[in-house]
Amino acid sequence: MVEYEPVIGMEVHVELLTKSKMFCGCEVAFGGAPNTRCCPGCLGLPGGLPVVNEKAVELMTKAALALHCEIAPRTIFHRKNYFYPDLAKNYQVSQFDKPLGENGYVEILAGGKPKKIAVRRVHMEEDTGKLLHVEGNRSLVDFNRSGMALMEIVTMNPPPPGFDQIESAEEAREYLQRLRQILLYLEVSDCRMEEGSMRCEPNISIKPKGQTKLGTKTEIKNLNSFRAVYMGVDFELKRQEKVLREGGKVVQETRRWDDDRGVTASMRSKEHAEEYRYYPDPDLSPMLFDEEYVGRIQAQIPELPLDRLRRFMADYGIS
Amino acid sequence: MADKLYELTAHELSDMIQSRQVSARDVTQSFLDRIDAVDKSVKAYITTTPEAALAQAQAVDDAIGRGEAVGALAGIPGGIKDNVCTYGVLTTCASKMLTNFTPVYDATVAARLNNAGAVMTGKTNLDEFATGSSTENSACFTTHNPWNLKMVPGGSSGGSAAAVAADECAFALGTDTAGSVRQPASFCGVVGFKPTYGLVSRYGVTSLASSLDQVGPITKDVSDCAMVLNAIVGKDRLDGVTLDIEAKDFTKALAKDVAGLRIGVAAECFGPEIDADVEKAVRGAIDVLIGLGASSKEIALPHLRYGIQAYSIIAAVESSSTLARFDGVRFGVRSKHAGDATLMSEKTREEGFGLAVKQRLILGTHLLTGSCYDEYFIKAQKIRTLIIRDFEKAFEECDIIISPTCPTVAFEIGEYSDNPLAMRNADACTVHANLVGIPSISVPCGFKDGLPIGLQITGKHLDDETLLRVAYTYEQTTDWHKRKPQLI
Repeated sequence: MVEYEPVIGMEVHVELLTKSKMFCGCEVAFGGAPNTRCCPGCLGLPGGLPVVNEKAVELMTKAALALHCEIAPRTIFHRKNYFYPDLAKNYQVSQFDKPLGENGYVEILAGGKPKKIAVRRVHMEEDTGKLLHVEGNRSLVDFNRSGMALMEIVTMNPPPPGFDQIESAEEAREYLQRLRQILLYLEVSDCRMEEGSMRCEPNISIKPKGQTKLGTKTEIKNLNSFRAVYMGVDFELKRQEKVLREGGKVVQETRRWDDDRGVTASMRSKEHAEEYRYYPDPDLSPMLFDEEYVGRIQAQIPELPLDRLRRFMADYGIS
Repeated sequence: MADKLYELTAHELSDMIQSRQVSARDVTQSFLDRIDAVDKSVKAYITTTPEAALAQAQAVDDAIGRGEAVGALAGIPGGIKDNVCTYGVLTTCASKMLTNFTPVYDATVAARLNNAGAVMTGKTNLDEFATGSSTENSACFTTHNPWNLKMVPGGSSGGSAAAVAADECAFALGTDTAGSVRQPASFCGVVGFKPTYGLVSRYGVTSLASSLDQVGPITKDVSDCAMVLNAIVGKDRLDGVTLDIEAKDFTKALAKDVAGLRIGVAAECFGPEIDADVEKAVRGAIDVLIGLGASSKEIALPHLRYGIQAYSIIAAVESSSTLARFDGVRFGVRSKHAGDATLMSEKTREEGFGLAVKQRLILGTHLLTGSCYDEYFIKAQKIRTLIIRDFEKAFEECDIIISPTCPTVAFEIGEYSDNPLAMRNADACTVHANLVGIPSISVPCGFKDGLPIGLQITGKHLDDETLLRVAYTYEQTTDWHKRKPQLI
């Protein structure tokens, strides 16, 4: 019987602990009356313009450094174009081929054994609004979240030599927990999965063991707890294996985790390559990071959780 | 005198208001009466705001009455292009999409004029979302050239230029993406200025192409231009690309002095598309400046001829996303054919946008797709860089560059209705200043068949003062700017 091995990519979005949004002065908070924390900028009104939140850049630089990333000396924002009612401008200001940080890693303990999970990139972007579907087949939009500073952290598959990748649902959960711990130590984000300030969308595929060609992947959404991440990834791996063993084909799609039923279900097809028509945002000047700036941010990074653990073990003989 | 206040320049009116020879209210009333008398034939305004204007004027009079110091623009009536957001006043961008859009905030330039005590007479016509060169693409109506009502006023800021030329306001604001301030100023025989990119805030100005858009004054003379600039320039924390430079008093540049000035003249700016009489007038203007102590020198701008193509690609690409926000979700007119969200946006855009805007959006969207990005967009950006280098090199040998503002004088309404692409040539001389980000001004320098000819003076990055000084010197030596169209 063919033995399958999983390929698990993690795309994590984290809301930053800034007082104001990524590109305007609107307050950042959770909950509250809809559409009370917005302005021409984050509402996408005619004439609204973005201005970079320096604090957000600082926090993201800090996070990227703590994830051992190289900081780009020059980075720019792109416009990611797509139409959706919760996207105020119908383009999202994001980063494309010049992200803030690249080539880092997150150290995890897989069954007590350390693994360095390769991180491909850390980039900055703005959050979207929120759709509320109400009675009478109507939808409402709340733009309080629109424009909040988001950091996206993406793992690298396959990893470069000397680094590892996530190989099980257990490791996916461990990766997320370690990442959360680091970001909490840095005070970059409060990482509350249930409130959506930390969101995880794993990409999952399986392939016959030893084969280099990747299988068709699916993306899982709506994972609102560490348990859900574990359960969702585990379910999806098993589902895909079952499909293949029965001679079927995995469909490229986004699947939604149903926490009550403990299953993933198809949300939308991703058969067609998405065309986001990225191009550099002319409203935002390039950002330059010199050694002095990076050094100053590096100096703010406290001792990180695993380093502290090792120090305690070494200094106090704890095992 | 009192019944012809509207004929005066802003600085003349300012002196009279400050010295209490006239009240701001009388000045405003004079312009409002003028609008009543002539706007039915010129059609410069989409919206007029007479009550608010009189209230603003009264506030200036009250302040003067209390002995408070008021700024130079206090009590001076001005029109604002209708793509600039004005708090509580309909802002349509001359689009069906926004026939119900009343902004909840002021653009920074509108707020700054307001703070300076300027009086807003109303919102002026334009090509829809500033896409065009004649105001014929306005979803409201076409504005007529005050010098000959059969002719276009130019565009896209045609309403602003026509309003100033017809004395329906003392000054106006326009926006210039490829010449949209200078070309209509040239067609209407007034002064139009596009400042260095980043000198004036774009916050609250509906973007067309963010890397090219700049707000600029349209005025009756160069002194007024400096006065309006003083009120609107400066760093704005709401527009991240505004330059952090110290406040300047542009009226200090108004000296009659071109001694030693090196004028660059490029053969590329006098190609076969330039009307012979336009060329004659512009060369005559250069001779005037040489007579005052300037010298002229042939310069080369070899990549200029690709400017229109590069512009067309960049503007299409940028507007395909800046205009994406018009979807009927949050503001503006929403299609009644709602259905689901996608259909609602599609129908809203199908019904709300005019043909010229749609053509640009389709082109821009296509140019960002697949291999077009490298083949067209990247190539256009490279051409832009080459043009920037052309100008950098040219400015090693000269201080300013002189050319016609437009290849021709104003054309007839409907002349290009079968061939809209040909109209793009109207931007042939102006588009480079936007691609490079440098300042450029148009001042009247003659007439052909009763229609004004514009002289374009283009200067170095952040050397807006030299431009103003040269324009002022030329203007003070000639009297083209004093001529007025006979409307009634």
